[in-house]
Amino acid sequence: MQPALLQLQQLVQQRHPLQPHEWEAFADIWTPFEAKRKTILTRPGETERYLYFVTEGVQRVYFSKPDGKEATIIFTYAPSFSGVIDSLLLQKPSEYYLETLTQSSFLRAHFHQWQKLTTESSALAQFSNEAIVHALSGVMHRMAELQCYSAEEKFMQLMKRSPHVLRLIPHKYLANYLGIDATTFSKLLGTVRL
Amino acid sequence: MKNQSHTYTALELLEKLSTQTEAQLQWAIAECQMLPPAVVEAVPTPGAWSANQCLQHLNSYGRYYLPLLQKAIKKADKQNPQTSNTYTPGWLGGWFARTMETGPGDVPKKKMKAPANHTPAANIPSHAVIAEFIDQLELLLELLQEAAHVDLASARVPISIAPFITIKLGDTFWFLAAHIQRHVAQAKRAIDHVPNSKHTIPSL
Repeated sequence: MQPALLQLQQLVQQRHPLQPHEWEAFADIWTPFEAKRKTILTRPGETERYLYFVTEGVQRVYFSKPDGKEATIIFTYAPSFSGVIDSLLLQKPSEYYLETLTQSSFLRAHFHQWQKLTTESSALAQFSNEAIVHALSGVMHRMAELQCYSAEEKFMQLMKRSPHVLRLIPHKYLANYLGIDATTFSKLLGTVRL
Repeated sequence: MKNQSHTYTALELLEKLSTQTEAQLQWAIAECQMLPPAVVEAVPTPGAWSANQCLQHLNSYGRYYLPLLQKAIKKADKQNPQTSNTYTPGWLGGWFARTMETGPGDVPKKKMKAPANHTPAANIPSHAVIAEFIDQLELLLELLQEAAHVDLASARVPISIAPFITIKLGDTFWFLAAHIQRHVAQAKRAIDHVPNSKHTIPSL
C-alpha cells in the first residue's frame, strides 16, 4: 500500500475500525494530489467538490471581507482531513478560501463517491459522523477561546497544543488565527524564548 | 554563474527562480521569524547593515517591482507563451541580473552601493520587516507561477533607477531573485556574526 494510504488507514482504524471489505471500498475512492505553496484550492462562490486528507504540508481555510480584513478559520496538517466542510457536505457555494501555506500532498476523494460510500456502509457513516462532530467540537472550543481568553492565554494555548506550527507558518497567519495583532504576537513570542 | 549556463527555456528559468524563492521562504519562516529582534537588528560591524536593514532594503525593491511584474503579466500576451523556447536575456536586463548574482559561498561578485531611496532606516521593528518580506516572497512565488502562461521576452518592465528604460519580464524576475539571494546571504552573515545567535532560537 502506498504510504499516504497507510497514513489514512492508521487514522481510520484507530478512530473507527473497519472490516477489510469496508476498508477496500473506502481506500478505492482516494487519489493522490499535490499543490505548491500558496495555491488556492477553493474560492468563495465555488462549491467544494473534494474531501482532502493531508499527508504533507499546512493549509488554511479563511474568510475575506471585501475591505480586505481576513479571518483564519482553521489550519490543517498531516494526518488530518481538510476542505471547506460545510460547502462540501451541503453542496452549497463556499464562503471561504482554502489555500496551501506550504508545498502540500493530499489524498482526495470526490464528494459523490464519499456520499455513496457513507450511504452504503453504516460503519463509514459512523466514522464520517464522528469526524464531523470532532470538527464541530473544535470550532465550539475556539469560539469560547476567542471570546474569553486574553491574547496571552490564547498564545499559550497554541504553544501547548501545536508548538511546531511556529516554524512552519508565517506568524501573521498565526496572529490572525488567534485574533491578536502582529506586534502583540511578537512580544508574546519573546516571552517564551529561552 | 557563467554566461553559458544561462541557456534555459522560459519554463526552466521560472522553475529555477521558484526553487530559489521557496528556499528563501523556508529560511524566513523556519529561522528568521524565530530570532529575537535584538539578533535581527544587530549591526555586525560599524557601518555594515543588520539583517533587519538587508530585508528592509529588499522590501523597498519589492514594493517597486512586484506591482509592476503583476501589471506586466496582466497585460502580457497569453496567446503566445513560448515557454518551451530557449529564453534569451536582453543585453541590459541580463547584465543587471548577472552583476547582482553571488559567486561561490554566496559572496557578491561585485560590490555596489544602494541608491539613497533604497537605503534602509534603522528603526522599523524586525517582526514587521520580516512579515513584509515573507508576504513579498509569497507574492513573488505566485507571480512566477502565473508567468508560465505568458511570453517572458515580449512583456517588459520599467527599471527603478530609470523608469523610461524597460527590460524583459524574464530579466526582471531573474534580476529580482538574484538581488534577494544577494541580500539574504548578507543577512545570514550579519546574524552569524552575533555571538550565540544560534542558541537564542527557542528549542521547540
